[in-house]
Amino acid sequence: MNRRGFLKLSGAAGAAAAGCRRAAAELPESAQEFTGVLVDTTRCIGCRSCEVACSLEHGNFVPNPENDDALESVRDTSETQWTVVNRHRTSKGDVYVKKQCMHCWQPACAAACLTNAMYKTRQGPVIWRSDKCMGCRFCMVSCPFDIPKFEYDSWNPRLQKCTLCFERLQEGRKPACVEACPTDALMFGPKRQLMEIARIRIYNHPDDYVHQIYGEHEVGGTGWLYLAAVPFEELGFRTDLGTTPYPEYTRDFLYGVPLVLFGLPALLLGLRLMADGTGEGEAHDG
Amino acid sequence: MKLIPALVLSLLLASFLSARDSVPVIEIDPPDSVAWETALGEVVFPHAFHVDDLGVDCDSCHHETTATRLAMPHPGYFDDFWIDCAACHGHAASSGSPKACSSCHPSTPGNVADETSSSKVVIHRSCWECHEVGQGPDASRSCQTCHPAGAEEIEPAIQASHQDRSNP
Repeated sequence: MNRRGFLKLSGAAGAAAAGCRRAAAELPESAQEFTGVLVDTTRCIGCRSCEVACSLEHGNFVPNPENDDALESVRDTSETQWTVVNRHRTSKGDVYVKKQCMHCWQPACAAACLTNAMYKTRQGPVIWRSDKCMGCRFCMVSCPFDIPKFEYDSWNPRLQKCTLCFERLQEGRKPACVEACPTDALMFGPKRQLMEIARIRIYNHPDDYVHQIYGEHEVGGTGWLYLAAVPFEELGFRTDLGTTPYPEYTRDFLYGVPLVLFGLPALLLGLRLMADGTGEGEAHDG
Repeated sequence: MKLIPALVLSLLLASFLSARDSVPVIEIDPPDSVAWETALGEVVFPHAFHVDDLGVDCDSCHHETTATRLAMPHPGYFDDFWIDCAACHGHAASSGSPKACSSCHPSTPGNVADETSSSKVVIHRSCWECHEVGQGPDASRSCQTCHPAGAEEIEPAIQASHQDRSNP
């Protein structure tokens, strides 16, 4: 092969490679990445703008962070407030930590739901679908973070929890809390990208962070990720959850149910027919 | 015969100096006030009040345009070279409206290693240089300093929520 021919060929190969890359960039909707939020607790100043923005967005109870004393106690999310910020007194001063649904990659609530009302969307948010829910509240029992809350006082109760602003995401907007945060303590994006950003922050500022990203592996990975300057136990995080996705714990049993329910009767029926092999003639006689 | 090199040198120097003088001087009328539409109502920054009445120097807020400052042995020596107004304001020939903060501080980082703060953060922080923001309820209260319109919008929702809770 002469030089010209070689160049032509390599040029064509390069163009083909570029074509492949372009095709990879235009992924179909079904191959969308899960999105989440990176919470950098070292940046949070505890202004609770996220709480107000969340409640305004979803028509929930709007707190008055200027005058109430909510930070004096450690609060939990409720059916009227999908996110709360708590203050933790730690060895490195006050640290403010936002709490809401973690949007697990393999959510226990969605696995426990008999009617698929709790649903992990392709975009990442775990949402609750009112038209499917039958009110069994298995999701509440199964959630390792105790997030879904029930409207016990209502005549038509709903399950209430953070939806990661699923409607806003579909309009191409960020979640309301992320938009409201004045310090970028909250950052929205694909989890893969957020993991890289989190790691780079730890690598570049090794003394400012504990070298762990909460949510990377916990319960099989969550959509919300946390960075902190102090160990996560000090900030009220559960560190005893393990890294096994919760649905894994019941998978064997759930696969066993149809096997037993259909397999065992079939086996017994087969045995009976075999044992009654001689009875075939009798049946014809009768 | 030492005269000729000296002459050449002085000529060169003169041409260099005149060339420097011919660089157009940036003349921009600072605005009386700047208003932004934010997620939390309109924010009006009284620019003239800060410059004329409070006597805040331009470079207190309009920062140097290179992210990392050189560690010079004599601090202050390069100070008047440091602030390159043209980087944001363009040369005098242009309209003079400055570049937006977001042109260098995008809301989403260009790549994962880019630790540049977003425009939202740098604008907040530059106000917080003087207007201390504090933490917790102090931080919540200080939002109103610049976001009064947003606070007014939220106030009825807070009132309604708290009434609902007190009379269920």
